[in-house]
Amino acid sequence: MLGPPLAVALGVAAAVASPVAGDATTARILLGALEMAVPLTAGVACASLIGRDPAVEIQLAVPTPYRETLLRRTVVTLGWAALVAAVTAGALIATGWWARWPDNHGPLTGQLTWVAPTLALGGLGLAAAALTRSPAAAGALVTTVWAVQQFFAGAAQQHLPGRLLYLFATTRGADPEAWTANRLTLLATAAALLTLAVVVLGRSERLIRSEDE
Amino acid sequence: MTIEITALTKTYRGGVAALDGLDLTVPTGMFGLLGANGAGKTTLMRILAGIVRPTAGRVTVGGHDLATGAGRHAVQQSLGYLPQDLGVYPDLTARQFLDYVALLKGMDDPAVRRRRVGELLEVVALTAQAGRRLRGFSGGMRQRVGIAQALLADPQLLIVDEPTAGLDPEERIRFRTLLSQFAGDRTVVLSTHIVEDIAQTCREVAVLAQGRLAFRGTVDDLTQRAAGQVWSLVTSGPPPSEGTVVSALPHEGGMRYRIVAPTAPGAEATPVDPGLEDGYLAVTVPDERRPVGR
Ligand SMILES: Nc1ncnc2c1ncn2[C@@H]1O[C@H](COP(=O)(O)OP(=O)(O)OP(=O)(O)O)[C@@H](O)[C@H]1O
Ligand SMILES: [Mg+2]
Repeated sequence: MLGPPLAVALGVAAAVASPVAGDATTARILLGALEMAVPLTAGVACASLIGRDPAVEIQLAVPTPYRETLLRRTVVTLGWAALVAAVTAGALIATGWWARWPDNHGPLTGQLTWVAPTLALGGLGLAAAALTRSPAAAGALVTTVWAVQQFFAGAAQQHLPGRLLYLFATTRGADPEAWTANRLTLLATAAALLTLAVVVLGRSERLIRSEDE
Repeated sequence: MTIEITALTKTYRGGVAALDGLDLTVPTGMFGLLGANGAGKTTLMRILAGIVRPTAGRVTVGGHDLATGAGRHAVQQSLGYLPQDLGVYPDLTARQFLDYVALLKGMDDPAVRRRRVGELLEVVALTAQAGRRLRGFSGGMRQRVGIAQALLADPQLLIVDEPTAGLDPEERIRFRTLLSQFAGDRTVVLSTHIVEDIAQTCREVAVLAQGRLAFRGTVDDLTQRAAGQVWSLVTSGPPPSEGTVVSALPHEGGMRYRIVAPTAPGAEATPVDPGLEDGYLAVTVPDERRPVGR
């Protein structure tokens, strides 16, 4: 719950503390908080939704399908991250910081800066947790994907598939021309991952911790 | 709701056969399920609750086949289930938790929910603590929250897995009285190790041993299984080597043993009237007699 606002706060702190002068750099850090930090917290939060429910036996014995409950929790988790991100983006637009990053893609379409990676990492976290039933493993996968793209940004964008799946195309994109294609690819990936999670959750009602069949 | 279980088998990964070709009919009313640790009680309860799928066999509850999604849904609509390892959300208060479970059970009207939750908090004597977070609840208090959530939607089938574990004697008696009163024409399946709870509430009982049915009948029948096999023996020497010792009490310079054994465990042994516990021992440990003191 604290993740997304904390991520934004960290981004703002980093922007304030930035040793490099220049509006563009500061603006890039601020947008980076939306494109990097918020999606990471949302992804890890989604990964922790499955496999750690203390009342799972009660959940599985009630007429409301557990899958429905989990999807509702996913919507709340992603919705909260979206709310925090949207408010932050609004503040950045109002204060003019949004415009100071040259590749901002406008106040409307530019929102895909955080929408696409948040949904992609959220979907990845949920699908991985549904498959492994281990929040730790799913969280580690999300963090690893994020970190690899973060620390090996160049290598990750060397080929077209890598560029299309790159999470941070607004603030660290190697090919600004491919931005729209990149965002759409991420959204499609997110949709595929969420669908996968829904399917897996529907089949596996064996979510009891000790129930390791 | 009558439960029909036919050739039910559940084999866990790793080859553990928790249930092994079980045939059992459970009528309406209170039904007791006895069995040692690992006998398969929880596995059976989870299958009945639609949580675990059997490996083979067929289960119908009130005519609904648990193998189909529609059947499970129909059964869960009128099911109250108290799991053996009850987990709760520690950050919710007792009232919030019950309200949430009521919502999951399809009680959509908030006013109805509030009234029902209030009633049940009263029933389990937790009204005063209803606003406290579950994190700070004792084991017994948590168990009472579990009992309350099982009763929320006025279930036609109530499955309770060792519900009295962790309750103090007064609460235990209160709870089993509650169960008996609740049962009426509903079906209540009560699994427990506490033979006394069954003796005081159920007319019919089944005993599971290693995933198979060791006994099915009335409580009186089970008691009678030990008829002529229960002995009292006062000795200052070592306990008898054959038979199952039910109790050992200090007695005038020696010990008084109560023993279940097919034949008198000594010349001084006198036959006594069997109890339900003796009957349970007679059907579960007929062959390998457990030596005393080990
Ligand atoms: N999830 C599981 N995976 C593998 N084996 C299991 C699982 N659950 C139970 N078992 C095994 O199945 C057998 C029956 O277990 P079950 O929990 O049904 O027994 P029980 O009668 O409820 O025991 P207790 O009185 O201790 O609660 C045991 O041998 C147990 O080890
Ligand atoms: Mg059990």
